[in-house]
Amino acid sequence: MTGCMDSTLVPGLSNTAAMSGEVGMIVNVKFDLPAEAVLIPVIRCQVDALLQHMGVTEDDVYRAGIVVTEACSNVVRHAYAEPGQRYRVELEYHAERLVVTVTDFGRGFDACDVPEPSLGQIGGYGIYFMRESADKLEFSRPGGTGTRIEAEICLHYRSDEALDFARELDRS
Amino acid sequence: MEIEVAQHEQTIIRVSGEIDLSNVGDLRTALDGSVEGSPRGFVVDLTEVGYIDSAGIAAIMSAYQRLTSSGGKLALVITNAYVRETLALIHTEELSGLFICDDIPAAERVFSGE
Repeated sequence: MTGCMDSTLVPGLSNTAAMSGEVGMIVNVKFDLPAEAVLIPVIRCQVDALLQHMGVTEDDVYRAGIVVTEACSNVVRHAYAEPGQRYRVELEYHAERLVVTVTDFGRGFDACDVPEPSLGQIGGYGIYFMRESADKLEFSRPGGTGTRIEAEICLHYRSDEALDFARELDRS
Repeated sequence: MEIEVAQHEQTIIRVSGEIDLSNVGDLRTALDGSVEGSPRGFVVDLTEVGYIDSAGIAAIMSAYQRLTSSGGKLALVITNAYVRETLALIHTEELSGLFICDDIPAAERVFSGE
């Protein structure tokens, strides 16, 4: 349960595991990093490595990669007017779902104002890709500043053994 | 990500690796150069690309718009199922002048007979 307690380090971060009454979380990773594009593939590789190693299907690994990449890109491109700012990424890996929470402290935006992309348009696909790839997606502005993107990806496994192993770790 | 531009009958931009916001500038530079140099259109070979994000898609759409506004065409060679799926998300099949091909010969046929 240390992972759940850790999440209080990020102000306003919801405690999904506690709310749903789950007893465990396999891995909880937090990144506090500069809002620079160069680090986006590093975060994606971490997600990829974790899920691949645990036997999650290629489909779900790819979807998780899209979600984390687009959420981070959104911060790097839009959150801050000035360079040198930071943001946070938290990964909560449970046997049957991955929760990705990306929090910035910038100017914030309302996802409802972002329209669906029209055919052939140049850019503006990031939030649409996240919506299409995540099983749950929430945007909020905790404390009235910045933006928090919380996305959930339901996980499936390449074998029953891999799922059983993950469930066992989840309970431990 | 690595980019190589080759001149055959058509210009072919061969990209390998993963495309995202961290390296899309290089892709955009290669695409812009080919839009200038090959206004009738060219081939982008994404066979060796394992991942493309919204920034990469935007760079390709920008090249597509510039080419087709003056009657050109863009042919993309894609074999990776996920990269194909990402393109399908934005309904590329409905875009005239944009061709998604299985291999280089198919992409070159887009321009033959002109």
